[in-house]
Amino acid sequence: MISVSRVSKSFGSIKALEDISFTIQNREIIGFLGPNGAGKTTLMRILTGIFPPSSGSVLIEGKNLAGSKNLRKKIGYLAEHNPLYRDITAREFLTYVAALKEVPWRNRKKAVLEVAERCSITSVLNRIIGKLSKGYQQRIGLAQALLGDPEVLILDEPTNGLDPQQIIEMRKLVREFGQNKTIILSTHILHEVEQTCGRVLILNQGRLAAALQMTEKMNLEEIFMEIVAKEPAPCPK
Amino acid sequence: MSKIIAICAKDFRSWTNHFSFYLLAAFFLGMTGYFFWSGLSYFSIVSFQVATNPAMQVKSLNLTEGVFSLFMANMTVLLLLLIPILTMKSFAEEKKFGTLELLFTYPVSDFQIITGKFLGMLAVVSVLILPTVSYFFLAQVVGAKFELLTLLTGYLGLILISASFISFGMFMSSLTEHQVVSAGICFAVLLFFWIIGWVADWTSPALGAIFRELSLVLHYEDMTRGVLDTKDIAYFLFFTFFFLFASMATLEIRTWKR
Repeated sequence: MISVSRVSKSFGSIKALEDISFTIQNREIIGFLGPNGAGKTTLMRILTGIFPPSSGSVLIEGKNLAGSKNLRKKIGYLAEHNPLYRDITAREFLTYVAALKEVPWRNRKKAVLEVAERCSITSVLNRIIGKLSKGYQQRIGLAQALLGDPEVLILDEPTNGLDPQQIIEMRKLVREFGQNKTIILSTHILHEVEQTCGRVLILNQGRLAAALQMTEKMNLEEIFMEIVAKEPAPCPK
Repeated sequence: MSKIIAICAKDFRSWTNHFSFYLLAAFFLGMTGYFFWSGLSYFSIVSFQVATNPAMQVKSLNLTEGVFSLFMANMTVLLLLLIPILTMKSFAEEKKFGTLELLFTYPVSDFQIITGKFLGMLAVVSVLILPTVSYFFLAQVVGAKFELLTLLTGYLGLILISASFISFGMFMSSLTEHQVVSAGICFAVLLFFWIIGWVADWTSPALGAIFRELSLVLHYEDMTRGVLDTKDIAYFLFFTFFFLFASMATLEIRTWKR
């Protein structure tokens, strides 16, 4: 269980997040929704432990995430725009990540092959990452998140920049992983949330605007527009 | 420890997988080969003249001073140019592509990141430097015998001064996401530390002593003559650790609660 309580984050004078609280149960697929600049990525960065919140706390299984190296083992992260080392091969990269995620030396090869198979990238393992197509790169990004068998997957816009077929495949993968992992997914594609998530949190201007359980009849689009229209993003001066 | 090795190996691979590394290596070995050959030829001409002309008196004409010392100084100037180009990638590129952030999500400490990257860079530079040892054995063919201990001391000095350059270069790289800015400033500041000793003899004694102690080149010079002084070693180690620590501090800034 992940519990976020009263989390705020500001960068200098800019308030990115304000007083956000929610809990996520195990094996839940939860979607973060919001317009650009709503604070989705900042919230995800806090949840992955890249930086701590300015105030408030994130507890994973009751333990504070800030400054805890061991808790980070429980989390797999696919960052926005999927950063990867472009000048080494996929196998080198995944073996490297396996080492950093404390996969024992003997199991590393096996672990890399396993995640490669799950993400269907076995055929490109020996190619330089920078020369692969975006779809493959995205799957390598997913594979590195899966290494070390984390309990929580945090995916920041996982379908960004993929073609329709790849988007459908990615959604299928996410649903598959959701069977035994907690998944936090951010997107601004409403349709995606409807298809994959059990619950959705809507962020607007750094605040939690709504937390909704997904139901069949729900019109997410209407709800979303209503929330965003209430407090439109301020025009930059 | 295995994480440090993993980071070190990855950084090493990402340089040696790159074609530009082989260009740099070719340039470096070509230039050092030229320095060595021209230095040795010049020395042989001078020593021939001294031997044949009894009117000429040269007190200390030896291979260490005449060839080795000069060669090491020239090689270090080359490294002064090359190392900023090598280290500029270490953090600036990772920041730009966002991979540094990915690294922060793994169960790795900042200390492990810095140590791994530093050792990886040191390995890359060692790969550049090591082939130059062969020059001294090749020189034996023409009868130039260098003292082994002098060579060892000189190369220890070279590794130490390279470590200082790398440490400073990494610090510069950790401050920015623009590689060229990092390389440029790194070169300028290292050059400053290099030449600061030149004025030591002309300024006031107190100021001169400070300049002399700060200068990279004056601490290095003795080692290329085969003189091993703990003061010089301490200087390079301090320089290296200081900037490694500074890099670690810049990585930690992200965890400040602003």
